[in-house]
Amino acid sequence: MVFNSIAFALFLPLVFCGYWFIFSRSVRWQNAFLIAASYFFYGWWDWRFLILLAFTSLVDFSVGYALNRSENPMHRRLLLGVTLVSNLSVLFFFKYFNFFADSVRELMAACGWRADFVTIKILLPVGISFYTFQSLSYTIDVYQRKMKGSENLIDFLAFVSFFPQLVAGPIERAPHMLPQFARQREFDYHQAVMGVRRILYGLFKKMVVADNLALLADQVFDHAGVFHGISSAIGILAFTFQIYCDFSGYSDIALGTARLFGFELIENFRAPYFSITLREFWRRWHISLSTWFRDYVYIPLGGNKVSTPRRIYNLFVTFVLSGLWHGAQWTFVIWGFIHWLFLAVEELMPGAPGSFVGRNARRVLTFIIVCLAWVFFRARTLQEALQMLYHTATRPNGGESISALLRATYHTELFAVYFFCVFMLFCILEWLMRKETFDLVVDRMPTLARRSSYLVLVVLIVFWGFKDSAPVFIYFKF
Amino acid sequence: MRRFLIKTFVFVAVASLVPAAILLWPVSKRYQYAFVRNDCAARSNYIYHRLYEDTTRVDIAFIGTSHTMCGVSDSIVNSVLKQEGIHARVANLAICRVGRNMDYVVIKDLLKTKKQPKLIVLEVKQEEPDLSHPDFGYRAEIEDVFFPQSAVDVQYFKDLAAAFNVRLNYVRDGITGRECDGEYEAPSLGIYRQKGIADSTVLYQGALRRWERYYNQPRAAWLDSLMLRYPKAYMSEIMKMAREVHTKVVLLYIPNYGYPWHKPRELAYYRGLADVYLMPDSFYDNKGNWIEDEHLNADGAAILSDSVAHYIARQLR
Repeated sequence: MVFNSIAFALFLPLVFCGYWFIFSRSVRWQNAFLIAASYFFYGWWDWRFLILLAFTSLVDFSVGYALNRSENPMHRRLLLGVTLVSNLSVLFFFKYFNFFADSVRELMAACGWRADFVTIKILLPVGISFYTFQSLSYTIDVYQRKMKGSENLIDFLAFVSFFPQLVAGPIERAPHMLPQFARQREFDYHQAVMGVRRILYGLFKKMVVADNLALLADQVFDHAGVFHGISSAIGILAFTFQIYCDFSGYSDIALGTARLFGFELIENFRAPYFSITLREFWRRWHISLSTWFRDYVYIPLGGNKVSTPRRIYNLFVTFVLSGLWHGAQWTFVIWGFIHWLFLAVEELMPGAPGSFVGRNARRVLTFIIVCLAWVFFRARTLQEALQMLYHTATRPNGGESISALLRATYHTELFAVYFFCVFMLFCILEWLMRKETFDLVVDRMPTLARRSSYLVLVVLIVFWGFKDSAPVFIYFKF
Repeated sequence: MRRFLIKTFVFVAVASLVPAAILLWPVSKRYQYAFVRNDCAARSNYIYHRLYEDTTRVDIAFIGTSHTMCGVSDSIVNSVLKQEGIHARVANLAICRVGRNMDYVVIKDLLKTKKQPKLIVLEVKQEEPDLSHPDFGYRAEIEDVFFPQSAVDVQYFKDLAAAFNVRLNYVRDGITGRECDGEYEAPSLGIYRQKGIADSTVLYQGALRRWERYYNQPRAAWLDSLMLRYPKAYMSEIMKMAREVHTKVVLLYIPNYGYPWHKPRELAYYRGLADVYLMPDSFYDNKGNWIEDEHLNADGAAILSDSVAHYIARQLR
């Protein structure tokens, strides 16, 4: 069940009413109802995935429960090993088995050895990377004594399976979320209104901006040899904003939906494309994942408290793993590698420029680096990515014109003009929100302007957002 | 909570005006017929052209599914009728896929153009199709989508979504200056009316598949009766529309290959509405008449067209 579907539009009000009108008297019943709703939500894709979700939840709850009762370091390490092995092996099997089998086979073939590994047709469970990491962070935090393990299975199951953030994050931390499940929730009008606003804005970003940019990006990436120079660059830019709007739109809907049930999720994006440095970019992009890797990979490796070469090595491991987390393809690894490479350069040349011109020049440079990295993220193969970059850089006047690109994508140039106006509106909104939160910006608007903007968003969503077959959320693939 | 619910209700009500306005937006027939760009697109454009652009009259209209598309040659029917001394313009307005409500839409459009057909030859199969035609929502008038002829419409929302989709695209294309695709072209019948003969295995497997799916496991009688209310409501409406303009309706039986009883299951019902024309059993059993288990080949179409033309001649005298 995706957020921008009729099924979800029917599901959400029913769950909302059940949650606040039928089960509100008892927090345990509310959580149990959330579990049922979340399992229904997740099972909508494929009921078989529920077994995996339940397995992960039960193993990690058991490990946390056991860690609570164990002071023996060996025993605690063993329990940590159990959770790491169970979570990572599940992830490895479903996501990476065929990738590694194929890679080893190719490597052996390159060395002149023949290897016949069996590759299995494995269905990738939606959201496995997200809830596995979320559950794993819980057991690691309990092991590190950052929190006590949960003694309540219902609360824990609700925490892992909470449907607004189950399939594409934000990857929540137990110290932040579990207490919210443990306490009695009271309906808060302002929180609910902010939730609805966030959902509306998320739908606008996904259905209007991202899905229409996807048409342009797909046109260029799927016909890399046809579009060159500026046309190709436009395709790259289109994907840059598509992935941002798609993912941040999803996060907005997730945050807004969670608020309807009295929960606060962490912000996942803070205007990342306005970042001056790549370091700053990673503090603003997919915050829940980058902080996860920081806390559970980078810092345990030594973090910043080591020599510069060691720090750069730590960054390398972190970003290669981060790339791999996104998908079982070398292009994702290279994407992570590119980010590491430029982060390493920043490590060696620290300090952001102080002048206005310098800061903005650096901002543009960072944006360009991020865009270039996205080429590898989007391309299906390394060769395709290199071909895209080559055509963009070396044949500025070759290939089909921009006009031809827009007509091929949107059928008429007028559609492109209208969409460009909508896109500019979006950019203005994002500019306004670069230093303040969405809630603050909207709260400060005059009532008439705010209500008019709701209607404008609805009209835009209806006119531009409904397609015969809309692209799925990009991060569902991870 | 009360304040939140009231405000949400008001917001949803106001927001619903937008899709509601789109649903009620008048859309051109041209656009509706050209909208669905599937393998039936050329056929759909042809029907539009024949009804709305070709001003020649339609004296005899064949309405139905791809069974009629493949099984009836309007030129053969024309020439046989001429030999019989009847000068009539024949139009095969059958369209792919199955759904009695689509027959209703085409006949309604035909009668609206005031081509005044003398005779409508309406296809019937071994089973009366009890679901909505997949393209109904796109081509029907909005009132026909909102208020189907029967409350037993399991695909009501699907049709409503299709109606919304075509109108939304119509408005969007109007705003963005996108021209309506679907220039008239002679209908491509693809594999149809080809001279080939079906492979026996294909015929057998098709018949077997249908047998296992439908005949071997019949539905409960009450469910059958309930589901059939839907297409029968459209049949009644078709008969009523035809009566109002004094157009005669006859029913032509064109089944799939391999149906063992050689007559429609609802024969008694059909005979209560109109004459039912059945070919001899040997025609349906002759593998040489089929290109595959669903459709007649050119030879089969020639035999059927010739036979039904003589039948029509008798009807018109």
